[in-house]
Amino acid sequence: MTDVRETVRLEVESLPELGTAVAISGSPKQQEVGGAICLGIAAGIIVYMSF
Amino acid sequence: MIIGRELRTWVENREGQRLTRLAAQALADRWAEGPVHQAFARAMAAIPARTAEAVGEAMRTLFANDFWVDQLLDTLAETMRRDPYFEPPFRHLNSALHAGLVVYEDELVSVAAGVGSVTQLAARKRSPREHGSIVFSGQLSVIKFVKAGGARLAFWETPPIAQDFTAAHAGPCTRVAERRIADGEILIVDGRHQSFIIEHATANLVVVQAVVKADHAPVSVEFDAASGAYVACSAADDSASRIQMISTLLRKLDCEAAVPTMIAFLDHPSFFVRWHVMRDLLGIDLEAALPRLKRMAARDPHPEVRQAARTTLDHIEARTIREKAA
Repeated sequence: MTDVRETVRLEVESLPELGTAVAISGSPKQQEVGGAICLGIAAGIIVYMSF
Repeated sequence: MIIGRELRTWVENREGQRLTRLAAQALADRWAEGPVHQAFARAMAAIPARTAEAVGEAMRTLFANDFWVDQLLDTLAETMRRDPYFEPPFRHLNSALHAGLVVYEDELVSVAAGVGSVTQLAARKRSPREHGSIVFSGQLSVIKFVKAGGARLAFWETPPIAQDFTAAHAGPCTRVAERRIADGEILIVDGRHQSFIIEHATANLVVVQAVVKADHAPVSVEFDAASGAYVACSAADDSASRIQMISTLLRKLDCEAAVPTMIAFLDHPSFFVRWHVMRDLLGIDLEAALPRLKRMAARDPHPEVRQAARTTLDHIEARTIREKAA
């Protein structure tokens, strides 16, 4: 059995990401496409009025 | 910056500023102890099963009586007339189209009251846009159109956004109906599979909205309005994003004392939080992370998390063999 702890130091940036990229809550990524968007909690009404 | 005489006087008047702050605090205290806030708190405390649907039904009942919206707006307007530097003691929710205030919040629900600007809506509709989008918030909302402003809403639906959501299998979203909304109408919109947009309005809208925190989807999802195709997603709840940021900060600080806390987040309901924390944990304490990485590869409920964990295990094993051989 190989003891990985003795030999491997991981670079976190090289570890795989999920296929589904999830942006930060209320992020500008959505603004680029959808217009003004949520501020934290009561995202709904601002989301719905963003079109 | 040009400062008027009145503002200059106020800026230099510490006592005046103190009185402004006291007025805001007094209003906040009156509101928190007042009958509306208390009614919200009692209703939430009385909910037996803390499901999104139960909270939504309770809010729909509370919204049946909206006398307090006019009273609150009148009180705020009157106080601002007396003191132009008064700021309402509520969290602001502002966008290009909407100005609102969060008037109640607990662990189950947030309630905001606000005004949608028909002028801004019209400007947005007229502006040339390459893409329109439909956003599904991931949370159940109860919305009362106290003044509907002659609004016509278009309703959209998508397959349920569940804990096993993946971009690869998202959507599409479909427009299912359009109709005019009446003054006083209450809608329950389940943002886990329903959404709407305002197609048209003739006057400002006065809206009260409860956003239910319980049972929310992991992500808010955005679709292209023209094609119905998936565009992007973001965390439906800001606490998930905060956990991710703090986890990375702890890893950057090489904070081994945080390992037990980070391990607890490997069971977080949101798939992307589980994987994010696992990556950071691998960076801080490989020994603590490895058995959990193996469990994650075998048993995590989300397929992409299992796959990422499996790939990482293979990567670690391959490197170990290479480095032992060298």
